[in-house]
Amino acid sequence: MTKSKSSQQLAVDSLKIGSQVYSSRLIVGTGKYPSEDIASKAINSSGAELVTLAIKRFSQQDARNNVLEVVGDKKLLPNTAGTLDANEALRSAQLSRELFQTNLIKLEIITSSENLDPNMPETIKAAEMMIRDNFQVYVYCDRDLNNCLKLEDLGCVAIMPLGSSIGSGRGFDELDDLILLRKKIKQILIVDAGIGVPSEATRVMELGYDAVLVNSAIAYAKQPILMASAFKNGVESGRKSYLAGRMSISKKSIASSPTKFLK
Amino acid sequence: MSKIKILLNGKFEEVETINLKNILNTYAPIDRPFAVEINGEIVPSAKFCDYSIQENDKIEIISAVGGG
Repeated sequence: MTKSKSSQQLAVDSLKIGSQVYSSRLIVGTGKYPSEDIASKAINSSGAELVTLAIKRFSQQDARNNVLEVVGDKKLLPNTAGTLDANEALRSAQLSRELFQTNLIKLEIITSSENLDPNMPETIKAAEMMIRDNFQVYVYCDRDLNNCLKLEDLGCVAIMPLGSSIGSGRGFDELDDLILLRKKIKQILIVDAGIGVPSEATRVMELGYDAVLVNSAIAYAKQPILMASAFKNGVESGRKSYLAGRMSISKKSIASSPTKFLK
Repeated sequence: MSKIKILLNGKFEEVETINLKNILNTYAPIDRPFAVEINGEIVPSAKFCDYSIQENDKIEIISAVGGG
């Protein structure tokens, strides 16, 4: 009975974010890969259905690289990377909507070009402006509970606190913050930034996070295609573990076998 | 026809046409989608052919790149 229920649960365990439904809980970035060929193979190996990408001024030097060929038929989540305030972020989002014909946006406003942590006052302001402009906002944010609750109240479709600094591969600076957020935030929660290895993705998925977003940990791996596959498995393991429900923790040993020989 | 000066993707350029579509034929990518913003306003692709640029217009041609 339990097994049957668990199988059914997994069969319908899709991830709904706003109007979109995904079967994969791993979102991957498209930056920093050693080559387009490796990027394409790694993205396919990850099983991700949703990929992030950025926009910039076109120059003839960019003509030989085309990220849209790399992503194939994946769903696109354009980001507002490089923006420093709400007005710039809205402008970036509107350009992305025109370019990609999507109203999905990853809102990302950094503090400065040296400090990539989110600028939260501007992020909150931008979220409000974008939602008013009919965007479905996936928001990169800090781990402050009040900020995340505010973004949830505004109507962001996914709240995406950073595990640690963008591109650092440090994992989690404060896992307790992420645990608290999962207890208090009802909206979709995704760890964005800082994850370095698949076991860290597994860990947050076990805590009940809905998905993880990974770029550098795959792109900078010695073998990105293999690492992408490892992240796919890590995310799936964490999700299954969360659904299965972990055993309770005991301070003393509890035997799994008879404790007296031959009795 | 006299040339006019525009600011295109942050660089001054002199062009011999005021027709946006003609400018894009020279400066925009041919193998991928792009978006155009002029003086801070997005210009829908349906209007490219009929859009006339003016001296000192600030034109941005935007395309996709990898990102996280």
